[in-house]
Amino acid sequence: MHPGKIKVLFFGQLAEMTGKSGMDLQDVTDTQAAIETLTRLYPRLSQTPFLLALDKEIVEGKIPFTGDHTLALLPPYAGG
Amino acid sequence: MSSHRIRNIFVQGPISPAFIAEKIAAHSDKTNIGGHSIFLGQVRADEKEGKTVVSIDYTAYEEMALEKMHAIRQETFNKYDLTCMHVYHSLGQVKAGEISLFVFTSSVHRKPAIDACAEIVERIKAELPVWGREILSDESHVWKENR
Repeated sequence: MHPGKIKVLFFGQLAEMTGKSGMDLQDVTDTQAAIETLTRLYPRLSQTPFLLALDKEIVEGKIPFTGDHTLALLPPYAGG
Repeated sequence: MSSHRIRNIFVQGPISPAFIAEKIAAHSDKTNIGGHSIFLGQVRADEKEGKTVVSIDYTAYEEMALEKMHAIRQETFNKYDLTCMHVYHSLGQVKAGEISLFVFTSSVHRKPAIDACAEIVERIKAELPVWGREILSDESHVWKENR
């Protein structure tokens, strides 16, 4: 299956930093490529800690995309 | 009394003392309950960068947070002998001194309610994708971080 459309979501201080709540990425093959693309667009991402959620599940490392996905960048949690 | 549907935990703005009182009163007909445990998280007027926190503006990845909370709920019911569990978390603006988190557990005897309540609070802080923008007295802001 070819990589599809990746819907990226920004939250908290990352939404503030990028000035948007999300964006779409095309032609990225895996999570690592997506982060590289986003870091080129927003260099300050490399200085901000965040977790990655792929389709609402926390993931680490390089996960290949198979079809359409939602990729969320989650800065440190502050609930409660 | 575990349920399989995903419940909404989010309320807009602060959680009012009247709402908390209503939730307590709603359990008076559940006469098998012998103990309730309640945790209330309150917004603290911390000093940050020489200024005071006047309010917190909460946001969340709601869909993911509700799925995560559903899993926490199921795991907690499996681990502890609870009769009831209720969780409410604020979104949007909550002023210093107001309540932003309400966790309410009930059991036949006190211990499961107390232990489950404490564990749920820790898990909410560590596992739910929720963020807080702390608004300072000069209208600047900093991002809250849980410890």
